[in-house]
Amino acid sequence: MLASHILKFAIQNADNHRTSVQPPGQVSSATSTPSSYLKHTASHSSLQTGHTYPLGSASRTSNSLPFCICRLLMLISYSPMQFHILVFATFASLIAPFGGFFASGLKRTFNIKDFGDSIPGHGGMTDRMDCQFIMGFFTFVYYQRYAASSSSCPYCAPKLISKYSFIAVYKASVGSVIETAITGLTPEQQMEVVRGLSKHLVNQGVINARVRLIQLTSDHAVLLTHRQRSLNILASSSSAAEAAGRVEGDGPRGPAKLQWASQSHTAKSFPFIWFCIYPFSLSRTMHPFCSAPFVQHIR
Amino acid sequence: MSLEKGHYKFQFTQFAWTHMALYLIVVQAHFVMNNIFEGMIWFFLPASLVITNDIFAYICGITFGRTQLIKISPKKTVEGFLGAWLFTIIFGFALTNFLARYSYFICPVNVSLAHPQIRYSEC
Repeated sequence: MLASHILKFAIQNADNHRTSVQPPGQVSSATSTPSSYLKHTASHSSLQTGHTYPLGSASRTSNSLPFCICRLLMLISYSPMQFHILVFATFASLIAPFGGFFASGLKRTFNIKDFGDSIPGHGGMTDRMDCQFIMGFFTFVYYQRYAASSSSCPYCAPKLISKYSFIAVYKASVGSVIETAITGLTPEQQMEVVRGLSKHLVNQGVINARVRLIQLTSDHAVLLTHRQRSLNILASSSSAAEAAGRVEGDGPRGPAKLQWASQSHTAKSFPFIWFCIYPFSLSRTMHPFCSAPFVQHIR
Repeated sequence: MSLEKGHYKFQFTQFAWTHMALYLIVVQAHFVMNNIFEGMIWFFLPASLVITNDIFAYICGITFGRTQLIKISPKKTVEGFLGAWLFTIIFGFALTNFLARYSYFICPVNVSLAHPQIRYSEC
């Protein structure tokens, strides 16, 4: 009885402390990025428990010791990942050992005592590793359920995918956005992207309208000249090094990434030409998949 | 073909072993690598959970192991099995609480197109 009183006192103290310190607006910002998803600090989680069990409910509902212990356990801060780890631990202890049983059966079948003698006293390296392999596979499946469909479909909205995934949060990176645009969009659509993005940047006040206009015109010029050049390449079927030299040469230069984008269209339109000339180009200045001189242009 | 009469069994056994080994090593290592790219914790934690499970299965088994679990491997007991489950859950819960504080463990690897080296960025 004394213990339950002490526990109750501790709980109420902690309740008072956290409700006075934490403003309630911080919960919604907690789940936006993966870091905060994993890194729930004590304030966030205890705030959540504070919502479900309001202040002073222990003294009203029950005085029993087990109930107070439960309440005290709820005060311990936790992250959502820890509940995923409960699933992981259950898998590791209840299902992964059957990989070991499978290995044991295999050993029985082929009359092998140990798979190896690398660790004395253990059943060799394989006995330790088969559980690890099964566990890694389970982690992979658990982490990215439906991730494979996202990579094959660049047009899927990230929100739609992460709704079905248990944990994975799909963030955009500069590289992935450019790659998606290069592989999935026509040059006209890529220009649309550039236009829309620069309009957005102007509206946000990052660049001013004049800079945007100049950039757009120069980009468009780059795009047109490169299309003309690709036709020239088709006509004369010149060597790869020569083509790279020409691309590198004169003419207006836009941003390097857009140049790359327009050249990848060249490679897509005439893959056979590229296929023919690539093995004979001695200098490896061409990118193997997009025929862009990748070292020079991407800075 | 190098298939010879009289050696079929040996040759196909070798064939099967090669494929099993390749499957175990290459395919599974691919999954493990993808886990590492999603953040070091997705590799480190499952691996340590399996190791913890083995250790506590051994400890619980020699402490109060009575009932045999499975005929195929005679040294495993039900007590070790269930005790390891309990301790693995506790250990995993605690270790996650510890590891999730470090961005090295929880941040995914960024491979940028313009800068192809691997970076562990703050996320």
